[in-house]
Amino acid sequence: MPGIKDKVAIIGMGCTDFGEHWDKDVKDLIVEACYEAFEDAGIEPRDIQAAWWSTMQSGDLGRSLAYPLKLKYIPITRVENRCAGAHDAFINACYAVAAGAFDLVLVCGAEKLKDTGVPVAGMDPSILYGTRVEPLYVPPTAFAQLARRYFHHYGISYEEGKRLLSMIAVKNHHNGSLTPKAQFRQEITLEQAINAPMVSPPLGLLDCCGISDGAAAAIITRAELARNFRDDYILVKGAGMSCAYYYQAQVEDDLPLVSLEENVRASRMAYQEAGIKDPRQEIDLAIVHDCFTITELVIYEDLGFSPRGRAKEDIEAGTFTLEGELPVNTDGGLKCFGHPVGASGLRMMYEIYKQLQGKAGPRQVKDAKIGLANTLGGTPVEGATAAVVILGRRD
Amino acid sequence: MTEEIEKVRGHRGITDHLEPKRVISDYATYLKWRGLVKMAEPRVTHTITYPSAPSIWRERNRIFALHGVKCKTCGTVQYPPQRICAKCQTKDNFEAVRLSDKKGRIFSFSQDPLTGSPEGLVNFEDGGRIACYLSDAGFEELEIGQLVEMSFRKLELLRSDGIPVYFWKAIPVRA
Repeated sequence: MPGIKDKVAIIGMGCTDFGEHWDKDVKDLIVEACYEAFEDAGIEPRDIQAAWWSTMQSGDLGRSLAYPLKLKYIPITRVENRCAGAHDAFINACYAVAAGAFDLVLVCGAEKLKDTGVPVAGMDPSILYGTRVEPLYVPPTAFAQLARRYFHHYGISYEEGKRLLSMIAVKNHHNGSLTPKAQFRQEITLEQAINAPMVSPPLGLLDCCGISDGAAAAIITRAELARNFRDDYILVKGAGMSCAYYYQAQVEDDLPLVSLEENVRASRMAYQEAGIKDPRQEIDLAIVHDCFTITELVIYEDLGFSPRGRAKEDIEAGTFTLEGELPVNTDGGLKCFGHPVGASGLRMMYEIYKQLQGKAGPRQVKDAKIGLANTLGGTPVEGATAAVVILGRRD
Repeated sequence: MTEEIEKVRGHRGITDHLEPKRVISDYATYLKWRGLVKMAEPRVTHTITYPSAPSIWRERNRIFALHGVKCKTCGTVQYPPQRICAKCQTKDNFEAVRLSDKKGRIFSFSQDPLTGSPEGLVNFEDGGRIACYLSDAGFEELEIGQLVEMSFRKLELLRSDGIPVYFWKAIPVRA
């Protein structure tokens, strides 16, 4: 049977606190996350046969993961796909394990964003080619264009749009307040979100995710070996990835800029592999890429949770709150947990892993069996890589 | 002067270019724009390279003349020029299309927090779209659907090593 459904299991995970770690460098973060994972799996670092390493700018070759951990001479694939890096690394590590190439594999993502005065992640203008004529697009600027176009397309006034976005921020802050490892743990009010200082209109300070240091890790093996390590191992049910091309929304003048087709395709690919026909009914929790509140709003539609153009109704009904029909970003999301770019996909899976094992404390989603994680690297105007990973309890 | 002068009658002259001027409310901004005073600039990552003269030379048509292309197989206008058509995948079957004299409408826009510049996507009247800076308008005046035209400008947003970067910006159509 094609695909890797139920062939790969996660037997250990680790995740550092995310935030401003002035006293730690990326090596410390790697050690903390990976050793928590080793302990969780009950293995030694020398048992690891291969590694996949995701970082945007906090490491170079495989050597930069091997160094703090003293992994000697194993194959290490270094992955860069912006914010989708950790999922890209994880998915490809799963393919290697499912193919029988390795029995015990480490996947680690880490990022150290706070050391220099250079604006990064949320404020990083990257220019791909040497002509330098393209406008400087920092992520808030690009996603603000998505927001403006979405409101225009669906006849939502600026004020109403701001209110909808702010409701998402309030939800995620509430969830963050219940998450010990999150960067931001304070509750906020709707008024605070609506009136927060502007970053790139309509996106204000509380519409934008945290800029953080952090690391996360997973240990994976073939499903039939998993019970040697623990009873409550978590299975990989499905995976999907999809890439737009560079500046696709410029080259194709009919792209409507009210959705991210990359997310639609990546999720469809994962749903197909996992055998999910009705995501809204069959998914118990989703940890998605809320780099900005507008991104989460559009994701509700792109991943098939809300009908196209009707995310507004679900936001107002509280569908995606912790108590709602389909809790989204139960750990505060990128907004509150933080966004160390190369690590985020693994942190999302860490929340799902703990939820499926019944270890999420006050955030616990009752009887969670299937969880979805989604990352998006890039922007709606310049093109993005979308990734979706679906995890499930055994049996 | 020959009879060729008739071909350029009615083109915008100095008076018309000065007419839509906007008064800048603070002297510091004026001094900075004139290069008379150096202000702190945004610190940028290593991904921002100095402009490459060979790159600019290779792309001189799409930069200075704002050429896009029209696929001769399916008729789709695309910017910047491509070798593989985005719609029908035909390879290397295009004709050049000059976009600099086309009007367009703002498709979406936003404000860059690092530089304060508005930027957006503009749909050209006969097809094609461009992502570019919007200029000669306060941010509050801009709206989706607004009619704009292209204006050739010098970009000086980041440190330069002496290679100036010129490009087109979209400005509201003057009445």
